Amino acid sequence: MASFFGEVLESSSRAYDGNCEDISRPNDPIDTIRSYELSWRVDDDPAEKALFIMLDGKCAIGLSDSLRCHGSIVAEISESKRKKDDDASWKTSASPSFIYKLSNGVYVCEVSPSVKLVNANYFSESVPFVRGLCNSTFSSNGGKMLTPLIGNCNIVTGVPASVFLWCSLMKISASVYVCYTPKEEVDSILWQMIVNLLSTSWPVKDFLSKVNFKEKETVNRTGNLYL
Amino acid sequence: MFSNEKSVDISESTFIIPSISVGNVPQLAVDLLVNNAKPEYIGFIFHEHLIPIIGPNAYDESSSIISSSCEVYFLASKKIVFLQIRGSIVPGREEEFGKDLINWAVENKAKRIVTLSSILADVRKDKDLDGCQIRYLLPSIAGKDLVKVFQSFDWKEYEDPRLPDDKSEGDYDRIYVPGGGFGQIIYTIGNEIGCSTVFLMMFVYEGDNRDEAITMADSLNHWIDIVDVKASWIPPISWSSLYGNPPPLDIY
Repeated sequence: MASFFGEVLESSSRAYDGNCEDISRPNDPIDTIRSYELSWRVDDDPAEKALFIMLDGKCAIGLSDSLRCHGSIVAEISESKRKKDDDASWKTSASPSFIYKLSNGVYVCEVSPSVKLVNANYFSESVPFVRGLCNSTFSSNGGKMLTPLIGNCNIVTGVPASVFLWCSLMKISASVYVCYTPKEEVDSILWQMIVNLLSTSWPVKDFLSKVNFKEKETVNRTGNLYL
Repeated sequence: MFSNEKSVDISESTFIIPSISVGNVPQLAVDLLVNNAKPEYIGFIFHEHLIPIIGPNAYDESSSIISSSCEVYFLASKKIVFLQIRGSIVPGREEEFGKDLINWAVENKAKRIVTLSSILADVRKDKDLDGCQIRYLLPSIAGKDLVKVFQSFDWKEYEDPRLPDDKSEGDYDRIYVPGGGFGQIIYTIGNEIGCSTVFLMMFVYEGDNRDEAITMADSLNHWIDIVDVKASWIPPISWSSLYGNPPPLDIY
């Protein structure tokens, strides 16, 4: 984008000593901590996500306005912020982002304008996701993976890998699911992903929904959960 | 235990076994050989002393075949069995694993075993600094013809770095290859059992070892004539992230 400075640069990265009210600058106080939390409004099946569209920016939101009438909101990504040294000062933003599902199965994420450039990574990291692998016996028995497959160069090791290989050796149907999360603790967001995953195929939904996460400190587990 | 997913006759084949050694050069070389020669996947080896790993296919993103700790491929046209070892051996169990691997090859009537290894370049003597960095060890049953073939490639016989010039190998129980992994075990046990085992090695420094992998693959291909590499070796898709993701753009 040619600009007043003749450079192709994202505006906030230009050396600038001008008006601090320039709306192109991120203008996010460094003493503000932001957090993003994803919460599902309905029981949704992650395995059905064939296409996930992210809409960010004013023009994209305009597109979203025309698409939204063809779908329903399934999840909300709320933003909370607080002052750096004041844990009690959490405030939730009035304009969350939404994920809605169109009638043809496509998911659309409408990113709220309140998500600032400097917080983009925190936004994307807030969404834990699950990937899986299956052996040939699983596929030949007509098994269907509930999540997308693990991408190349990623591996699973330890007991889950050993069990998986043993099952493959014994021609036993096996699949492994890996939940990637930026956190080391099991919290309600991560647990909801697991509930969504397990509830689609196994009769454990009633049991799983009774887990209470009000007291987060009661569950503390490090590392990824392999299922 | 071998999963044996395809009923193929692998008897009288050359078994290529990469040793987990410095720079992982033998494994990278096997990656090149498998990705370019396109042998058939025939199964995997499960062993209690092999650290288990699984992952998506390293050569074909659309394939449903899972990568594992020890994959086995067979190139029927050349009667070559490739092992690709991705999981490490439990420390202290290399000899047991090596013995079981050799016994499996013998049970399948292997014609010969070629074990690939890399050697820490630090142990080179002055005469090793220049020229071809490939070294070999041959069993006594290999015959002088093979020695002549290797010397025509400008390969040199490996010398144990512990030996001063006036001592012979007979003063030590077993050959020593610094950074060579379990390759030396495969070589020693293979020949003790009576399965002709050739040991091919290469001096390397740890780092971006793709070029060394190409050299090793080229050398092996030059000897055994595995695949016709038209212009250059095609790297597998698993090499696309050898050093992780690119740096995040927002740091600039």
